[in-house]
Amino acid sequence: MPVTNLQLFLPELLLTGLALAVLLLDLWLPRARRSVLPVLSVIGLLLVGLAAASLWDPQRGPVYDFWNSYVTDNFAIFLKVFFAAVGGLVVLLSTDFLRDVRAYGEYWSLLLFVLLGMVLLAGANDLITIYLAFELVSLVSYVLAGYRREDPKSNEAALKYFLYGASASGVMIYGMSLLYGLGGSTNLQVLGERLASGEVTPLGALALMLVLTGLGYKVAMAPFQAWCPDVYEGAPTPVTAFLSVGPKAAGFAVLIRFALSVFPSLLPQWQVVVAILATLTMFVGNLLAIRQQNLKRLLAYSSIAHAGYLLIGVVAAGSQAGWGLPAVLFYLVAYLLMNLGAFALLLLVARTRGTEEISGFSGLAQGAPFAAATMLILLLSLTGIPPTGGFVGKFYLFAAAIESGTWWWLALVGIINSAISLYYYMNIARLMYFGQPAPELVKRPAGLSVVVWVALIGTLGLGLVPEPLMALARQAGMLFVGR
Amino acid sequence: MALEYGPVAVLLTFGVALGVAAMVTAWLLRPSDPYAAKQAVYECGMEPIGPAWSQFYARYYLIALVFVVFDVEAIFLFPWAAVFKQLSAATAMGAVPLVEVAVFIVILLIGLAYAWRKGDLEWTR
Repeated sequence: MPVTNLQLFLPELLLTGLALAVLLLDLWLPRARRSVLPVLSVIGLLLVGLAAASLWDPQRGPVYDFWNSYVTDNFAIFLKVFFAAVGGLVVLLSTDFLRDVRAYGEYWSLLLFVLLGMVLLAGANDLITIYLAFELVSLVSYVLAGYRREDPKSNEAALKYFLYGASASGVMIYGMSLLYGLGGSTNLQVLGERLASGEVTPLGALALMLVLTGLGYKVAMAPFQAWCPDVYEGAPTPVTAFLSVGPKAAGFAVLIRFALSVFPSLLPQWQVVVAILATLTMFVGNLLAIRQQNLKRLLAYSSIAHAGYLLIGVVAAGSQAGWGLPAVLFYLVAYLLMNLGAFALLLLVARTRGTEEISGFSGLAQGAPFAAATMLILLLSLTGIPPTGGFVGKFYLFAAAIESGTWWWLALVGIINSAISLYYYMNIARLMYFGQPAPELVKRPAGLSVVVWVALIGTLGLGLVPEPLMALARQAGMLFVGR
Repeated sequence: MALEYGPVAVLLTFGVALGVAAMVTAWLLRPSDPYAAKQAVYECGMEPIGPAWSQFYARYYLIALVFVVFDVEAIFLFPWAAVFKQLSAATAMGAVPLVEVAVFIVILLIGLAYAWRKGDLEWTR
């Protein structure tokens, strides 16, 4: 069937319309009135989120549309709401930063288009659909990374991102072509059935590895993480904040759907590979973060480390989908809140003190006690210390690893890495509270303040009352349980 | 399974080997006698004027980009036009395929409007 019910695509349609409307408005609005664009974007994204949430129905199984190339299930809906939230927060983060950028209007429509790509990735159920949505996310991300055209570092970031990204998607599409050759279909379920019936061939394993490379690049999994620090450092800070959460979450969505739909037959094999790479990712991220002086680079390595923690959940999902998937989804939400909060504070500090180095946070507690306390809570959450969302998220991830039986040792690796990360996160806290006092933060743009508040309340809320979100995450993960 | 790709491997090996063999043989046999006219860049038999690393007018690429958009649109429209009657009959709602393509074209037109408004269709600015 082409389309059973157009209502299921309300979020996608709304988002497409919104992106096009913002693009056109920017062309004809007078310059002075263009500040309406971010307001429109936030309201529109709110509607997209509501539209997606209204589709939530714990009883409903997956609905396949467009000749089975697109699926609407609770897993996808959960992620669509999540992406709308990512978009809204990033728009709020960007308003102040972009005031003096020449090409002002395109930013918002580009951001909305990349969100559209991510939403499509959440529901993509076909190799071609996955690839197209993946490229939509990637291509727009390259442009966003290079958005400060006058800044050579931003150009460098865009070029590096592009070169790495182009190679990675080339490798991925090669893997997909092999899969098509083996299974004779581009549909994930059909491929899964056909591959499950035959024996494991070297070619099948090669295809899996190639696809894993492409997705691993997107989520910054070691050894495909090399682009990450340079791109994060060079890109405009709000874009960095976006890249560290949005495309990564989309990459995980595809990775999970792909691994569980296409490769049930290769389950033990890919679990071993991903488990080893998760370990490597965690160690690379955390050990290299220790020496960073630039906060954006530090957060880049920290985001690599967090990708490693999330990969634990993916491995566990292979054996115990009922534990692994909700843990990954929960952790994504917690990571969104704490990471965007940290970036909002970085933007606040950078605009007053003119530096993105860690030293900019020195003595923050004297000048701005509230900002410092918030940063401390977010850092505790990133480390994984109660009572924060980061702690609960890690708890679920490690619990999933232990529940899966074979992969209990990943929890141990994760705990060791959390201990390592304590050092560099608390180093910032030490500077804030015991460093040389510095002037207070003069002005607080409304958008940034909102993000800080949302991050603070959300992080503490998830830490104290995790059960409501966890219940939703469990329902979202139900789809793959019992395979 | 893997054996089916055997001919491809053979073809690949022979293709590469033949090319390399031809060049190595020529390199072994030919006398080395370079002189100015021989070393000159060959450009359709004309004498080359100026260095090859000259600057090109960068605006070509914008025009090319817009062209590609509508080139691709045409590729999509031809098969659509060919099966239009069947489509209308099959969906029992004759207008649906028409509306779908209209949406597709409108989105592309927005791209053209964008390029136009930004002044990218002007040859000189």
